[in-house]
Amino acid sequence: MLTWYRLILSRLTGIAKKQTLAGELSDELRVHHEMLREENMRRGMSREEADRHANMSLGNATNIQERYRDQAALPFFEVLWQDLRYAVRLLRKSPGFTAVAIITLALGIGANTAIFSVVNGVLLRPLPYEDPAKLMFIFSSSPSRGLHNYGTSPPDFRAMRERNHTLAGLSGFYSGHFNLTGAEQPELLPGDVVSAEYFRTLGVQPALGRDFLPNEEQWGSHHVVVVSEAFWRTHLNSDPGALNKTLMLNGEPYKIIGVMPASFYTLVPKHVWIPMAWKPKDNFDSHNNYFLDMIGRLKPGVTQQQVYSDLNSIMLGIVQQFPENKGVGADLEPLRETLVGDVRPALMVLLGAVAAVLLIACVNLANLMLVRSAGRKKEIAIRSALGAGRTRLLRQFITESILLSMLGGLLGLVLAYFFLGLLPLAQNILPRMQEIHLDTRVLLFTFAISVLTGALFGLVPALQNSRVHKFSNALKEGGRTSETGGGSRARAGLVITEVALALVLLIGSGLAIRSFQRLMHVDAGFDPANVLTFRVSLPQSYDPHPDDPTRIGAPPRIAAFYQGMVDRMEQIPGVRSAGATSSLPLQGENWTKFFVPLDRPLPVSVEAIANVQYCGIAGHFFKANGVRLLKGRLLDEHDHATSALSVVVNEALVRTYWPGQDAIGKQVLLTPPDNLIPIGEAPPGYHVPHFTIVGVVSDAHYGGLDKNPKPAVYASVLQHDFSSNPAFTVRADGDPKNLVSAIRNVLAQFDKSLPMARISTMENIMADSVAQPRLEALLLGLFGGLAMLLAAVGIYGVMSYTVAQRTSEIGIRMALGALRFDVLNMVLWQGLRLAAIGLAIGLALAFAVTRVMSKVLFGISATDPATFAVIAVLLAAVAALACYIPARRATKVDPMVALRYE
Amino acid sequence: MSEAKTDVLQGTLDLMVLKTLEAMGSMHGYGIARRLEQVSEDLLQLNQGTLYPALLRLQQKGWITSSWGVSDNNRKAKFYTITRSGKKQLTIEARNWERISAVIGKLLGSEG
Repeated sequence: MLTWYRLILSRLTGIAKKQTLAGELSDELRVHHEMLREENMRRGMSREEADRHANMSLGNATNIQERYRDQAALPFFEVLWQDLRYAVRLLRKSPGFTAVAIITLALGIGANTAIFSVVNGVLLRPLPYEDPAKLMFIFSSSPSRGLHNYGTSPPDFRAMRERNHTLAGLSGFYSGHFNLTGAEQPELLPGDVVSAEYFRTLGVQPALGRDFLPNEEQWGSHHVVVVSEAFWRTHLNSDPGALNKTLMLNGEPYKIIGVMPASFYTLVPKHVWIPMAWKPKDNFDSHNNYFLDMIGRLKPGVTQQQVYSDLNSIMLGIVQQFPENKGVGADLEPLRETLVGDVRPALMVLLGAVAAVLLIACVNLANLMLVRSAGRKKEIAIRSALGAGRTRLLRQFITESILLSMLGGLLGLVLAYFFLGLLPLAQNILPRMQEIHLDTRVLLFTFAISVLTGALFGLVPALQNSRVHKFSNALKEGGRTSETGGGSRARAGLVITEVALALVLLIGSGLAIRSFQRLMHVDAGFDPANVLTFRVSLPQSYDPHPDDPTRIGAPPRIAAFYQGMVDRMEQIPGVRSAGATSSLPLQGENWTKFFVPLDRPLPVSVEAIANVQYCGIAGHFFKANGVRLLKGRLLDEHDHATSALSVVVNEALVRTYWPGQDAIGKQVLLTPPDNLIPIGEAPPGYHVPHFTIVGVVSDAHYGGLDKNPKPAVYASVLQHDFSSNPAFTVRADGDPKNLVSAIRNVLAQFDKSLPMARISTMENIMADSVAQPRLEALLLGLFGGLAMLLAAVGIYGVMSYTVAQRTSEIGIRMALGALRFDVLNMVLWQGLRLAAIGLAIGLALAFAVTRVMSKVLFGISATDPATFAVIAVLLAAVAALACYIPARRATKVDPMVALRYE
Repeated sequence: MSEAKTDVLQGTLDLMVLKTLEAMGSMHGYGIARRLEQVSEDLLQLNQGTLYPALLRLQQKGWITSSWGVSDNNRKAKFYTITRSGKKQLTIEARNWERISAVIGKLLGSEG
């Protein structure tokens, strides 16, 4: 292979030495010729004969020199260089065209680069863990109950971890917020409670210090914490001696044992990790609570299906010992799916949209090139006459168009870079945002589509123009030959393509916009105006006996906290009402509890009991959040630990259990009935509490606005279950943000160590929940508008050119008596016919293609006829306008001038 | 000569040039052409000039070198010499040819 290197190197240097080599060859050939002549003369030929023979023997000198020259250097690059220089000269001669072309290309290619870099960062790049394809997200699933994806109980997790033989590692975790105290201001840190092998399963190690040990999952040995690099930087001054220092989290001391590297990725930022541990007999560590997420790593050579069978056989085994687990199984999916699967359909739609925009831009450019090069017929004729083959001409044209598209691509890269700078605005919408950059793959992609684009829009004009007929005509008439059939047909085809593509894209945008509108019109079930919300995380010290299943409502300290906060906040001027809840609407939190109506036969087994959404509330929650009372009464200060146990339900629950009837007064249970409680779980003589429904309220959406509200039941924290991480809601007279400092003071008065966290307004929460569809509608609308503009410009351009071409014909017609109106009609009709064909094709294409969007649309079908019709009419109108203006110009033609030109 | 024929002969031409230079020592272009004419019997009777691009290629591959010198009738001419890697290439090519002709010989022989 050394030989090849030598060859290439010699040829490269040969480019510079061309003159010298050519000179040396001439000398050699001359000498050769002389020697041949002498030889011939020695053989007896005359001088002329000898000369002639020598010429014949040597061969055609020009040919030899050409072959020699080709061998000496790299002709491919020489030709390319020639073509490029010529192309640059041409482009500089028509700066208007060049500017328009480069800008159009920059917009089209830049948009594609930007969207592709998002797709690359979010969907294509493997997750930043070790061997990420083997990581699976594992969850509980009970298809028989219609529950497909929920958390796991700690005993089930430990059983799976211990008994599986298909996983190289299985870890469980759940997220929490931790009050950090000891500094001037308390702070709420987001973090995860994890099993000991969490980091090992992901294949990441702490950058400083050590990982957890298995025994640290024991209550008492669990006071260790690993912190994030960001926390170490901001709170510990990047001090390597921070190891073994203590942090006060939720009122308990935790020893720092490790710092995670900055490259460790979590879906949401986390700053602390502590090992999972529960006191013996803690209710959380039982089959009563399903809340753990799990990540497992496949053993080499093991398939997903094998893990599924393995884990489910373990779950079946558990049922034998714990019958309340009946029906609970396990399922898994690749971790990447879990993290980005939701976003994929939307991104694919966007990618399709920008591709369509680029195609339309290509069509426009192809038309532009066709028009421009029609004036180059003379040049082409001359070059052909001088010996340029068709391939050579084609090469020249394609070089020109690729040069344009590469320049456009470069500018497009710059545009994309700025666009990506806007990415932080999409904070809550895209997962893995930190991995979106212009990396190598994106650059390669940009290069590839630049070349392809250039080849694409250059092809049609190149093919057209390299076809040469009738040299003499072209040379004589100075290039203004009349239209060849092929030219106008090509342009017509391009216009039709443009209109069709623009229609498809516009329909997509229309659907996205209408879908977003429908979403915004969903009745959220509550009134978010002027409502402030925040969360407080209550430390364990507030709840000294968490494992007493028979108590009614919150322990005294927590009850006092809830009530006290609400009372004092309502005294702040500007506050209309205040309340607290365990789950805020639209945050997707799902605390579900059993629901057993007592006016019908009891369920025969635990797994037959239905679940409903549960909210433990306090104060004037309903008023504060604007949840409407429909029947009966709301829970208020009359509902406390010693009054009758009451609940309020939502409409969806009434529709499910008492359709068409009055639910007020019905008795229900929020736990399994007495006969189904496992023996030993409750003290003897204990009976589960009965609750009475006292009110019905509107359906607040706890999942997204696009999901149907599920049945929900509300109980006062003084009478039933409560959250130690409540959300407070405060309805203000004016701007709720003005109340923040006053409320912080109130909270500080209660307990200086409690930070006020996740402060937001309900309106913001609502806006965030629809952020993705909004962005989608915005971007698609933008691209659709761009496409329509490009198509209009394209049609206008083509029609203008046609009119210019037909000037003499129009002049003749008018001289022969045609009215201006007839001329207008003729031109207009020619254009509209093309547009109509394009619209028809576009409608059919859209019908087939928009199905792709159905996953992304809400409340509207992907083939909604109204949208299709309106957009088609809109585009038709735009096309008509684009045809009309040149048509009007045609009527202004002065027949005398037109004829004289001929 | 058509392009295709030239390609086929390129390899053979290279081999013959190398062999000539190895056997005869340094030669100029005319000398090489005469020798090849004799040996190949009219293969290169016409278009001797095409030898020069071939000589250039061999130089680029490093199998021969060139230098200006004086011919036996006092003309200034470029002389070509085979290099060590050229000699190695010659051995490789010669071996290949022998192998091929042995195989073909066997094929043809087996038919008879």
